[in-house]
Amino acid sequence: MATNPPNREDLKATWAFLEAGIERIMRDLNSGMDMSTYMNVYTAVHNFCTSQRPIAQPPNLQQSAGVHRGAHLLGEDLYNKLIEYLTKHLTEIKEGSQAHSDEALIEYYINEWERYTVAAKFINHLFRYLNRHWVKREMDEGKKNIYDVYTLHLVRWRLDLFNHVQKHVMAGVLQLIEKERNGQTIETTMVKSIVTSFVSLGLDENDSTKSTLDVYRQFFEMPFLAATSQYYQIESKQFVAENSVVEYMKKAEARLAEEQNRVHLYLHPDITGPLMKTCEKVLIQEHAGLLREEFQILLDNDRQGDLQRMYNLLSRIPDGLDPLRTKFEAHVRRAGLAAVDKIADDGGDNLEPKVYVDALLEVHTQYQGLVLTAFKGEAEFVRSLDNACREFVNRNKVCKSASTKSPELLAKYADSLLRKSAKSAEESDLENKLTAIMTVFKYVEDKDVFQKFYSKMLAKRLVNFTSASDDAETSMIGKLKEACGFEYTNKLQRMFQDMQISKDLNDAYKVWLEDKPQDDSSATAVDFSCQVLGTSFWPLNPPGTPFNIPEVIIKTYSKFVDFYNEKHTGRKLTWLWHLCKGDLKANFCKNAKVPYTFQVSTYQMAILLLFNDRLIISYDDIEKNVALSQEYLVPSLAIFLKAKVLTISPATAKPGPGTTFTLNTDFKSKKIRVNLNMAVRAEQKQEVEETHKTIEEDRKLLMQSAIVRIMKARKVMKHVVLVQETIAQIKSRFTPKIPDIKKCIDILLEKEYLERLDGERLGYLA
Amino acid sequence: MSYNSQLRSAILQFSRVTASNERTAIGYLKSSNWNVEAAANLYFSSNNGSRSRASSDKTELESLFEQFRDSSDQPNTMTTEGAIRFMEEIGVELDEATVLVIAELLQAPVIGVFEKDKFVEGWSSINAMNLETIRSKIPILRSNLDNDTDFKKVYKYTFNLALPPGQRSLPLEIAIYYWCLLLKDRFKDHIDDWISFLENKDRNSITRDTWNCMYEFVQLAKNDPGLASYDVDGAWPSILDDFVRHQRSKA
Repeated sequence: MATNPPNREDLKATWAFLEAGIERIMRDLNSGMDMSTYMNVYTAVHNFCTSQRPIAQPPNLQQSAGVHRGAHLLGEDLYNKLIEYLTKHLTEIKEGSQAHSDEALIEYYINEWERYTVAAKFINHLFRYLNRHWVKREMDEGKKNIYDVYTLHLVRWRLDLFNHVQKHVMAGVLQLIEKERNGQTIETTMVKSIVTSFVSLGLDENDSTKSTLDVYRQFFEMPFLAATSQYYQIESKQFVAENSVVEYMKKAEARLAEEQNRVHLYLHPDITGPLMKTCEKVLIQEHAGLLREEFQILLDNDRQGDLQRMYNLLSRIPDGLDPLRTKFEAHVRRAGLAAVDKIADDGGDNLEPKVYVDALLEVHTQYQGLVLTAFKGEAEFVRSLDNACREFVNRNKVCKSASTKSPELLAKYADSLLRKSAKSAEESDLENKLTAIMTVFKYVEDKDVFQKFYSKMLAKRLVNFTSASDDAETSMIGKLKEACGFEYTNKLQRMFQDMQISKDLNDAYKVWLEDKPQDDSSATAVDFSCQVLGTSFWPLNPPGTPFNIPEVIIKTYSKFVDFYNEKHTGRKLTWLWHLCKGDLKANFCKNAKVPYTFQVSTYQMAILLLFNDRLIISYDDIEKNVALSQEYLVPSLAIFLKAKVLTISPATAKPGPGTTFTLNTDFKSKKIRVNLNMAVRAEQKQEVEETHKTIEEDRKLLMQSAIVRIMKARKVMKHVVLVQETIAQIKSRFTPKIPDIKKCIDILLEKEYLERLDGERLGYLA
Repeated sequence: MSYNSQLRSAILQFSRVTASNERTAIGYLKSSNWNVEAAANLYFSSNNGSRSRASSDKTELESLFEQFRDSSDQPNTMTTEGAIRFMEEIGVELDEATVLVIAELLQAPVIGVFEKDKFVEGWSSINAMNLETIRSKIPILRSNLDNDTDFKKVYKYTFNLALPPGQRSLPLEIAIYYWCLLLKDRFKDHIDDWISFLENKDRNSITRDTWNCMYEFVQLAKNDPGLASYDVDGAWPSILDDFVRHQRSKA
């Protein structure tokens, strides 16, 4: 190697000097290059570029420009020489490559690439002066196809080598990947290097300092994706032909994971999207019909894991899940209906509310679980579940007789939980059950029916002091309020308030009594307490029979009336005798050491008290004295006969006119306290019917008031819009039928709250 | 009935020229396609200068009224018997719908009762100033029933005529009677079904709304005898919904 840089003005000499240096770096970098040689080459470039040779200067150019052009032309010579060298060098590599194929070719390509790019960096450094001045100026002037020296290396590689060999190299790469897909182990770093080299060749046409993925995409990604698609097309077709759908899903899932992993291991991250899309199309989309056919079978057999797998696969393709949702909804509805059918057949008319609600809940719980685990709680599946549940909760075999059966049974079940009973549930368990009720409640369309029955039964629990727990009651009302708003539970809450107020009122009454002069002992002889309940909040009706208040309690009765009127003038007290009860001490029994206590209704009390004066009384006398109508008197007497408190004559007769009753002084009972206050079954049934009837009436009023409210606000409205708006307002309580709304509109038209205007519009008349 | 301002000014102009009332004006204007000049020509040629005789004509009508008024009746009021005699006199059968056209024309408060001033005003509005001209007008009045606008007027007025005093809605049998009278031609495809439908329903009165909407329904049925275009969720009274459902279930 020459120790000194050559004559600065001699291109031939300079290039010869440089070429030797470059060749050394290219071919034998490993054996090193000493500093002075390196510096000499560097200086030679510098010197050459800064020489001011007058030659080659066109005579007509001005002197000042000539300096520039001179350096310019010199740089260009050098640049072209370098291109010439690179092309020669690369052609040699290209020819060398022909000796190799497949993996050997890849290896060759990679080795050459690495050597070449490392050398390029050094050479770039040596030519830095050229880069900084001549190249920069050319580029600033906007010349295309002029690159800095390093980039020039890449450009030449691409033009002189890559374009000729890439097909062969890629064929090798694809073969390698296919080998891996077939389960063999491969040298993945080779693929990775190829990818990196392809990426490096991507140059931005507009800005050579930036790189693009164009080359990589065209020469790697495209063939790779095509090969992938083809590979899996063949594989999946074959697999499906030989295996079950469930097996195929596992396979597809594994393949997808594998490909994902491949990206991490040795591919460019940019390919993730296109690769997954390609795989999904071939592995899922093309078999989607087959998968969906299997869905019903998996549902039928409750194969949660497989369902999850199917969900995961189909959720990856566009619109993959829609058909599943439809099938799922239908399936859940069928399951719900079947569950109800089963218990409806077993239970018949006297279906236990608990059995019914449990059956509904079981189906809901099962499929909610499935949605959460297999379908990841996806919102659309939740909606399908809700739709299905709403269907089978409101329209099933039990509801066939009356669509209001679901809310009725649900309310009864709630009552059975909240009422004091032998098998009262644990506190936490109770809370869970109440929450479960709310799950069903959410689906009930006739929420007004639930409200009706619930408030009836709550009233009964409160009046009879049979509520199991105040906390549970409050919790339940809180839940209802949360679900339906303040208005829905307003009356229920007022009922609790009345109970509290009554407690205070009873205390006040006792104090008031003590202050009164005790003119008569009979006023205090009876231990008395009562609840004063607001008429408009409590679903209680006044007694349906006349009644003579027994002599013994009449004083107490009038005292309390006095007290109350003193406290609240102008309020009217209605005594609900049919809900009152009392204890009677029975001293007439010959055999009892301790007198029995009879727990009786006020009506029964009035009857029994008659026997204080006589032992034998005729039906007609009883009727005359207590004034009860027959439908109340007969059942009360029947209970006494059944309990053998009274005997009837003639002995086999039913209570009624012409019979007489005798007090049974031989009465015996195992218990000291004898409960004779039992609800009559017929009464209960009648009550249910009445409740249903009031529901119809209430609904009419609710619809009418909604219509009036809307019309009052809008004044004039199209008929159709009014109907829609009314439905929207009322939907939270029940689902109104359009003909019913129209009937209400008819009524309001007739009552002249509304008038008919032209164009199907209605007007509000104030 | 309301008219837009253009028509209104035509009516006003005509009334001023001919010194006739609004009703007459509308009648003439309508028949001359709302051309005031043509209408006025028509008016004068047909009346032949009757303007000057207007007051004497009225007396003729007034005395005609008195002829049929029963002496026991309230003054200025003609009641059923007189009305029946009057109808016979002018050649109108009691069971033809023309009775209702006349009742509407004379703004009878209830069926069979006419008030003197309305009687005079009504007849003069169509230039029937004596018994003879009244008779000659009957065919025109009869043919009014074929014209939708006039028919609708008479139809709607009939509810008032038929309404028993102090009531809001029409007893079913009365409603059926008048429907038969008015609709036997216009609604002939359905009238029998409609009536038997009503008779089988435990509804014993017909509201004004239903009565009025029935006109629209008849119009619909005329153009669409199959009632296919009827929307049971539309703005119809529910009794018509029920009827259409009933008809459809039979089909």
